[in-house]
Amino acid sequence: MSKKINNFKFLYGMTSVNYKKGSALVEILVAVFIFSAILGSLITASSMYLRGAGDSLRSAKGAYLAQEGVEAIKIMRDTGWSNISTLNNNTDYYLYFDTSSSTNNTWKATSTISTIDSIFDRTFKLYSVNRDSNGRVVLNGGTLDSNTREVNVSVSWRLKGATTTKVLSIYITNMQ
Amino acid sequence: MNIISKKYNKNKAFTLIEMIIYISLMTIISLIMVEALMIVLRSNKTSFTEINIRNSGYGAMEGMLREIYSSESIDEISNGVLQMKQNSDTNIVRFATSSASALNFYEGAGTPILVGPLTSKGILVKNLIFTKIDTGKSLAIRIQMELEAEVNGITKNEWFYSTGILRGSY
Repeated sequence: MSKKINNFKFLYGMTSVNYKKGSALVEILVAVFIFSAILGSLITASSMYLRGAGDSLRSAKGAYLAQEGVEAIKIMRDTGWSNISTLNNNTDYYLYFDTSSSTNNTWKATSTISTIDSIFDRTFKLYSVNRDSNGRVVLNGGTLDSNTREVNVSVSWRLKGATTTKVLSIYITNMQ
Repeated sequence: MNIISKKYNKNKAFTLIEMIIYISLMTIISLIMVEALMIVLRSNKTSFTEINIRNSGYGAMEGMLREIYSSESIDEISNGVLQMKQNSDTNIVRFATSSASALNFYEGAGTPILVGPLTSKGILVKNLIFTKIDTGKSLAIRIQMELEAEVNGITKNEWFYSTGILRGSY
């Protein structure tokens, strides 16, 4: 009775072990595929997240630079309308912070290309403004208003081969 | 018994080769796995520092610009300190970097009282430069701020720039 059970146990045990060891190679292959699929998707998700974080940081910086551009043009206007009126329409200008006078630092326009933090390009363009007889700004016709200009401040930056541009547009008037 | 023995011997030979393949495969897989996990962890740390910097940079710039826009005159201006008057000099706002290198906001009628920090924990304000611009008609302040974030050994520095005109100075 006991011999029979032992034989059975021996037989059962061996088949079980042999069965498992025989399938191990296939099991490993399946495991490899599953692992690589999971890891691949993890890495992809992580890199997308990373790109999103970098995008959002640059986008926040770019927004403040564009805002600064608008304020800089208003500062130029406040200093004297000639700072604006002498500039050409439809031409790209850059902004630089003039610290040559220790008592009076100010923003100035220049045609010299400058890059901020080696990433951001900030330019502004002026456009002439026409008004109708009621003083409303019109796109076609009307008469030229030499005391108003349209300003487009654009900030662009490159991130992983793609260029993003933010544009802020305002009208600026001579306050005298 | 004879059959069992034969089968056992045949399979034993297979198991040895299988074990070698198994071990080598497992080694390769675990190496790749560890490497991939390290990349994922490092990426997450980097993006975490970037998000941290972005949030603090956004909060600090937004807070300072909003107060600049609603101010009338400049009380005190130096590196790391900006104090302005609002509401016909009845309200004073103050931005100053604390000893722990956070950016603190103070507000009050007479002496400005600490409201709280504008930057989150773990963010250091490395540089905070305020420059006064006087156009003759208006006052403006240029802000240059450098933030540093450190998360588990990964350090990141970022500059934020902006300029705001004191709307009440016209």
